[in-house]
Amino acid sequence: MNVDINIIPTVGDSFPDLSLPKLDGEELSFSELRGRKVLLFMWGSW
Amino acid sequence: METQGTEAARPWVDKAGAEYPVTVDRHNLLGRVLDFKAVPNGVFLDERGVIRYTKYGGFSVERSGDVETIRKLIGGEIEQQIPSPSEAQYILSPVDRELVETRLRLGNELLSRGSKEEAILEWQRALELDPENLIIRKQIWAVRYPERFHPTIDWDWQGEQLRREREEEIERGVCGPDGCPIPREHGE
Repeated sequence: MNVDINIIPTVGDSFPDLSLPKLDGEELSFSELRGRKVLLFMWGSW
Repeated sequence: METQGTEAARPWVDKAGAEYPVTVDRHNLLGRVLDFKAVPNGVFLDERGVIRYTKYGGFSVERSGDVETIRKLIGGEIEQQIPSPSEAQYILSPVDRELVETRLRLGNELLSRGSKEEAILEWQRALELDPENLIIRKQIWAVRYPERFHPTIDWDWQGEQLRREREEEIERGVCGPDGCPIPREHGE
């Protein structure tokens, strides 16, 4: 996972190649999502 | 965005009946990388993984404006939507962003070891660097004032608490890396 903290990605930039754990414990790599349109919805329980 | 981890998030996902993948961002990785200070957010990616829409804070499937824009993006009616300019009062340097992240992680580690008060102290140090960051602030509230979040979220209390805390912070000179705006004198 390579993230350049000096660049803040915005509209027109590639979404950074990150991964996060899913609820079931397995990793989801955001690059896996390519090939379809994706809506990311981010929320907190508070 | 859940410092208390999977088990705090799971009931909400179950209640929503979500059939899509759900990830848990315990250390605010997305917040740091995308530089947002509040949720709920919507980010739309095209098939090549290019960001075509962002809305940081206030994104909701119950807002017809938000839903309409997403519909148009899905259908190809619009290619992208340029976001409104940020209303942030300051921009953190990359060094400060790293420092915020370090303090958040340290706080999370302390919390997982049962050192709640020390965790709150570290998160507050993170907040001092980034006082407009509602994610950090709410993380502190959820641990410090759990009764305001269970069984229901007390939104009115949040509004008042934010006002109280910001007043107190401004009094202490905590406004971000560029300091506090100079208050107007009476009669100006």
